[in-house]
Amino acid sequence: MEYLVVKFREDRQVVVDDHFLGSTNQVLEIEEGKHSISLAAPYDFMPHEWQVVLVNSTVVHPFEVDFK
Amino acid sequence: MLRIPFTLALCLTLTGCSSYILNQPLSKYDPKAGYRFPDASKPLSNNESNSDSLFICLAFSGGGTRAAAFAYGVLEKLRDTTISWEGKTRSLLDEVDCISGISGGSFTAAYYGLFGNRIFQDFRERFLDRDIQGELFRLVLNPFNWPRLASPTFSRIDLATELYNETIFDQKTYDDLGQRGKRPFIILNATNLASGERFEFTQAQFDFLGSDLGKLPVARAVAASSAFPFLLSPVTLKNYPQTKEFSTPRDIEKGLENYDYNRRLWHWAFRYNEYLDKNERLYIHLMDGGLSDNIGMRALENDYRRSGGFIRERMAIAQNSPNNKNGIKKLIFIVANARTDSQDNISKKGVPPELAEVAFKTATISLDNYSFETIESMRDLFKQRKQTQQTWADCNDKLKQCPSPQPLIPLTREIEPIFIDLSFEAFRDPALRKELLNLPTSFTLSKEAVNNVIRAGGELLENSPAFQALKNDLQKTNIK
Repeated sequence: MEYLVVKFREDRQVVVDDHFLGSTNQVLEIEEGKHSISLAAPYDFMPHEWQVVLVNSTVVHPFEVDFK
Repeated sequence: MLRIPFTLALCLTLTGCSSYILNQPLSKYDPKAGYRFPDASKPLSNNESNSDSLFICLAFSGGGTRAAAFAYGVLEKLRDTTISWEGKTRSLLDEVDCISGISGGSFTAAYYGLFGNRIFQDFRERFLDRDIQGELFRLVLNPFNWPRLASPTFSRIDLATELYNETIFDQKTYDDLGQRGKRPFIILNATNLASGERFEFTQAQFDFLGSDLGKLPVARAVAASSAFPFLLSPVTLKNYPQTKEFSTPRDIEKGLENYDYNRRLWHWAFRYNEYLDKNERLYIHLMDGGLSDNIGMRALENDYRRSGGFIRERMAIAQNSPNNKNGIKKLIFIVANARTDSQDNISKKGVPPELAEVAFKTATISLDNYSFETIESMRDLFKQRKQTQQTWADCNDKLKQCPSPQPLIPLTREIEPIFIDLSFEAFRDPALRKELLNLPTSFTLSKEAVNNVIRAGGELLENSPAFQALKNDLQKTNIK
């Protein structure tokens, strides 16, 4: 499994491949590979979506994406 | 003189009218409707008797009546185990959330899903103590059925479906199963004969066939799951055109982009996507689920790994989320593996085994090896999760010793994964162990053998160190 942190100014549900999978600013455990990452409504963030390839991350050194 | 033409006409009518139960098309695609696990984003009501925080899944392996009785023994033991969880006292069986069944194990899974605790009153009489194999054989020999069996669209598996439907499952459909509530969620598994892939009887799978699972008799799914090669013919499903509302789910779309990054994920998505090729796959032919997974664990593994899996979704609910109650604290998988170890007669002979024996061994050796790896793969996944949480905690402790510590970002939630694997090999009594390991795979067993297997299911669970630890933990007055 791989590890991802989605940084955002507030707590918001994270959407991975169209499924709610945890919250922003926490370490999420996700299956290895390519995924689309977005946030739940309201759609007040940029970019609309990240495409990430999760490999070789660890819980202490997770992959990071940032929404503004 | 009139009798011959009359008989002929009757035969032709019976032949012409005989056809297998056809799955029905879906009138409207709705990714939240039908027989699928409840949505994790919907908060649990306060009067819900089954919590999500204690999340229990059972896997019932294949192995004919032996496997069905073993699974039944496990259910009995769970029923008799009283626990205290989040201030409520209940039986551990009341906390079971999903059951994945294969072949013989699918009878017990489906029966419990449809009738709940009634299973402890009449399942022995209605299934375990019956000579199902003999009854099927007599149906095939009955001249009344010959014209029907002569029809190209009616075969032995359809007689089996009728028998199960009438005498075991009371003609219940998946709509009936859904109406009982979706806990435990029952996943019956078969094998797609063309691709060799596991096929599960859930609406999520039927969405790809443009078909409504709700109208299908549960007996049909059980028949497919237990359609042992050569003895029974395949169950055929029609692959309908998709309704206009259907769009490929995003996780399948993304999965198809994973050939270079995660071949396992890509393969899963690719196999689902194949069902959308309606020109090449007009019909799906299904056989015994044991051909693709004789343990019943692959369905649970998918729901653990995949971003859209109902287990994964509940593992990822943040502690501070409004629907925290839907989040898992303890995740328990119990595998009832009724594998046997038939006597090795080939090693006693100096002549090479005959073709039939080689064919049988070739099929079962690969199944057993695959089953072993299936169990170990899931055990590794649980171990990995524990190690991840431990690593995080250890690192955080070390960081606290720094002059100006900055704690690590927390994991969404901490869970306790518990894996319990039951098989006859672990039985302590050597005589009974030998007897159990030599039981045949058939749909008929003596009452004594059924008793022994049921007893084994309960005792193996009771004596499992992981179960003992779980019981000790859950039998404390536990108000969190």
